Amino acid sequence: MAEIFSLPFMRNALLAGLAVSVAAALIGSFVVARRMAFIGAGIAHSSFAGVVIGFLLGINPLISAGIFASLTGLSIGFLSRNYKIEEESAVGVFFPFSMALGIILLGFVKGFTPDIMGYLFGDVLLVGKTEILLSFLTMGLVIVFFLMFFREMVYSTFDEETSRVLGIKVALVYYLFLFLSSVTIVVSIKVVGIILLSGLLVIPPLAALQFAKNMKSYVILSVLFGILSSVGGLFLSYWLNLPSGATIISVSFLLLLASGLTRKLVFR
Amino acid sequence: MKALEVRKVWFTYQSEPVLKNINFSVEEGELVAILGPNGAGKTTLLKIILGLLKPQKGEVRIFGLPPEKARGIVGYVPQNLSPNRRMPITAEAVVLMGAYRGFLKPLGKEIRRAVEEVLQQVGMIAFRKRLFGELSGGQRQRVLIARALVRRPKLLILDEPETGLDPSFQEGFYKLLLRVKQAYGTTILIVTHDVMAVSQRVSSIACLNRELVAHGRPQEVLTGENLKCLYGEAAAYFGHGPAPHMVVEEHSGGNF
Repeated sequence: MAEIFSLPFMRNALLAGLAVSVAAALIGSFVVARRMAFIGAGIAHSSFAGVVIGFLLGINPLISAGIFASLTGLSIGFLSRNYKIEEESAVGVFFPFSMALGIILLGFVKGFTPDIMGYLFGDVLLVGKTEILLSFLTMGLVIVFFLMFFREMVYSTFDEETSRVLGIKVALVYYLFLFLSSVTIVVSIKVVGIILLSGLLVIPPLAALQFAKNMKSYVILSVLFGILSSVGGLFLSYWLNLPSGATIISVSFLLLLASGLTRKLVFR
Repeated sequence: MKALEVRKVWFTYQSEPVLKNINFSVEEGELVAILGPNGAGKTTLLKIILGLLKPQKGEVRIFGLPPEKARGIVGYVPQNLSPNRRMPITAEAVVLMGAYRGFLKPLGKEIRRAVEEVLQQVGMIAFRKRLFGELSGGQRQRVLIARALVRRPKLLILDEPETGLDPSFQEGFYKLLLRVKQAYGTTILIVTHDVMAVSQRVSSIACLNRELVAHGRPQEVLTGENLKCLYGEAAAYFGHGPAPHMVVEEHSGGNF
């Protein structure tokens, strides 16, 4: 066990994994409650074009991916709120378009780009001090957002129309949520990868739903399952020499399976 | 005092007039129904009263205030609420939502007491820790009524409240509304297409079919002529006996 902590890349991965799993579980609990799981996958995949733009411009791909994913997330929200386009349909437009754009632009990147696989599937070796800093900053932002807007998020998720009657700034809360979802997704890329990222958002809250008695216990359990998935997944990936992102998502899936079975056998 | 004034309201949606020159008022303490067939503009009028839509012409006043400034005195029970049934929100938390006072404004102990009181009133106190999604349609409706009542609104607005109510609770539901009206002097506005449910229970009826067809006491308003204007040629209303009833001679639409 101590051996893992003596390795700088594993220490970095565990720290970043811890921070992104907390942020992703907080965001994910409302992604699931709002029935917008496909949006998480859409924003994650749209960041691929941003990553490639970063390679092209010679800047940190996370910065360009962050800008691209945030614009995509906010555009999906704008289209669904102001035009007769369902959120899921808007994702169906942006998801393939950004992937297509990324693939086209990849052809213009000079030289070999081995890192691209790390962005797609996650690679703990890519996690450095900047990523740790960004992860903790994002986790802090997400925690502050939920401390401030928890009631508004719960109420607008449950009944948007009555929330508006009560004077809640529903659109503001929604756009802030979409922005933070995009940022969380982008900083999680290096830990689990673009392809697998929606699992980190959706699976821990689904496991939490099996036991939740109210919204607070739901969010707290989501965070606990998120931490268990990422830390447990990183340990397992080290011991069994498996890819980190895929192991994290597999652990979270096993946790969901165990939660469902426990609920069925013990609580029913 | 006038609890609600709707003054010359016009609303057009994609060049199609949905509401034409709607003009009526409701006195404080009245129990009023807005009656009309599907597509009559009832929900649009309601959204204008609630401040969710702005009319192209005309204005609404609630106790003299524009809707956006009257939010603290209005309680609202929406129609066909379809939240994620898996969302783990308790009945108690749903009622607490009605007591929302603003961003970062804490809820005091008196609010917790008010939540218990209204849950007791609607007969849902034993279900307060149950998840909203696990309740029956009628139980959910009772919780939503409790949510609307928790801050003792001066004006209570209900959009098609009988939807989802089991018949056994429907009578109790109107008794509950009357108790609220008597206890707190609450003005109640019910939007419905169910003539029979409201005809004996309300003090006045506003008949709406994109324009105000009639407004007054039920016996004055529920005439054959007005009902034909609302529901078509085939509708007829009989006011004899202890319970008035309406019949449709030929099934010509989708309203009954």
